Amino acid sequence: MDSIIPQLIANSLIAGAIYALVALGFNLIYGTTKFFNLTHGVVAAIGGYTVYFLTKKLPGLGASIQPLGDFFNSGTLGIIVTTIIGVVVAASVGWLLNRFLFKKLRERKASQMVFLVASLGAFTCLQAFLAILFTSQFQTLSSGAGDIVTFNVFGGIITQVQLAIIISVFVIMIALGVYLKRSLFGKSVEAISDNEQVAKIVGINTEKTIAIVCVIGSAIAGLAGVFVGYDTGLEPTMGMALLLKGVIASIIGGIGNVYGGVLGAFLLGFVENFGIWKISGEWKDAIAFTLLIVFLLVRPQGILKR
Amino acid sequence: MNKTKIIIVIVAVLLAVWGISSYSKSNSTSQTASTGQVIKIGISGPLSGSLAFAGEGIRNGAELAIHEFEKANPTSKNSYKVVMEDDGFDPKRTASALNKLISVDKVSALMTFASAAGNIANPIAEKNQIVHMGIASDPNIAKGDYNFIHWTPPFEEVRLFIEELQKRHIKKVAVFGANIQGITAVIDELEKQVQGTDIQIVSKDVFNFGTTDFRTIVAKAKATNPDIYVPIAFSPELETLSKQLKDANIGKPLTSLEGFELTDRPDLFEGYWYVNAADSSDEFRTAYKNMYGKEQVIATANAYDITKMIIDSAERASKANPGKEVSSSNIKDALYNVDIQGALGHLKIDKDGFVLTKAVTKIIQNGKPVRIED
Repeated sequence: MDSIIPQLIANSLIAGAIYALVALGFNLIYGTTKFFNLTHGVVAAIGGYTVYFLTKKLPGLGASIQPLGDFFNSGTLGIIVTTIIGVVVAASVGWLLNRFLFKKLRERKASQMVFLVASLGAFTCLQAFLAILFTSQFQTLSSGAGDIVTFNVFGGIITQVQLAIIISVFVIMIALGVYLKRSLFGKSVEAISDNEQVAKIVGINTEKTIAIVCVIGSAIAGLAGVFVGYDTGLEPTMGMALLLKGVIASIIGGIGNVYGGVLGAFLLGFVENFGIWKISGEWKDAIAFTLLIVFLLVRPQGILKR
Repeated sequence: MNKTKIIIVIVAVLLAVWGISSYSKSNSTSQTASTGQVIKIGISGPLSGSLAFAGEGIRNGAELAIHEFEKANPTSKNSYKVVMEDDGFDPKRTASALNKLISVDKVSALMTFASAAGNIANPIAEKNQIVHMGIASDPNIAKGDYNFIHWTPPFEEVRLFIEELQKRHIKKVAVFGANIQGITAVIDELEKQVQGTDIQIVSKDVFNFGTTDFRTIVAKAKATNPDIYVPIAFSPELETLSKQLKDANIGKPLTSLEGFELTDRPDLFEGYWYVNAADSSDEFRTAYKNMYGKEQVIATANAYDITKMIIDSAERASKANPGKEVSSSNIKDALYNVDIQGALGHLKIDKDGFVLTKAVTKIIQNGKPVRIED
């Protein structure tokens, strides 16, 4: 029975990496704008569905588009190009939401509750839009069982996509951490995060900084959506489940802290997967939320402070 | 716009709504008086979400039965109509859908899909004294005077499943089941019937709706080294689970009880055998394809049969009480004497409210379910 442990560790890392990708973008946006942006989940789904459209739907739209469709389905290069497009589309949606919804609300000095309700409305609207465009049916980005490449890491099976997810999380976390620490933009983000009014007074273009934060955060969410599409599959309602786990990870790790979110995500992944080792899988969500409640009661600031 | 104008607009809208509703009420009454009774069959099922394909099939099956009746009985006094409410396969929406069908649409009979919806419909049907037929596995749905089930019962499906496992010399099975009444009933029956056989359930795991990460329950099952994996779930969990089983390099086949038809992607299970509820006749399949231009799906034939039984009962009740309107109570009484041929075989209701049908063994071939002939 002990031979299951390497697989449990691998599973925990995979789950944690997916949660971490969502938490990274969510934490970045929350840390700067100070509101629970529920659209983050649906932005992830948009990233995945963009790749689905390019690889599965576009080739069938006409003979003139067929070569482009063939290119998007042409192995690694096609995957890379479509993933980049998916990330760009998700980032654009994030920018549009900020420009035409959240910026307007900030100008009107709307309360946190108004932001929350507005983001819930936008989330529902975009989710319905995805369901209308692509139907509610489950879709996969991978082309079939034959294309699954797996690796055996110390007895744990891990697929190529899952390995890419884990590597991406660490690359993005380090890159983001270094960029925020060393760049002028990072200083602006920190200043806005501390006090937006004071940041404005000292000459920081707060709206521009927040827009860039939304673009970066949404791009990471879009990448998470693409990865989930390849790893698990897509459905229009996938955003809420992703967001929930991302938010739990952020709160556990330390809300507003980039590294904390990743730490929280991996802790959540490990607790969930080892938690159902000896008990039924139906307890998984209960375990995740129990962990959240414990942290809210015992250490509300999370593992790492902002 | 000043206050007076706003009041005038509100009053005008209210008058218009009142006028339209009065007109439609008087219109429906006169139609009933002049052309006979319109008997409505209400369906609560998924027309949105990942099981929308099943809901569409159910509606089409019911409408096909009505179409055939009207064609064969052009001078019939009564006419029949299907009213479908979309519950999105969400039990939370089922109760409001059923209440709308009863109170607004005034249906004479109800039909639901899957055990979760059937269990919600059961007390509502009893309270309102309206016939309810569930397309579901959970035997509790048939409890009471007005509730019936038209689905191959778990004991029959499991009987054939075990027979098939023995025929194929499969000894160790790993079961994954969604946490819903119908699937729980099937798994409970499986655990009961394997006792005393040489088959062993080496792993059993249950998961909730909305689960997307099955990796750990797959790893737990894999560690027990089963001969075959048995996922029993609805879409989209079924597709995700099957993908993660393949990702885990299980190297063993999959099978299921009903599962492979609870998705519109049966191609994901190419080459795998499974046991399913009763199979429809060739005549029905041809008639369905001719009418809708596509293949029937899971529960389509059940909906067709249920509608046929309700029509047959209503017609007999109407003849027994000439000049009187057929009530749901009349339909209920007549249902116990149903003795007709349906898409899934001979239709008769037993004393427990079940329409008993035989399970079949099938295989997914070229992306389509095909019956394995004896």
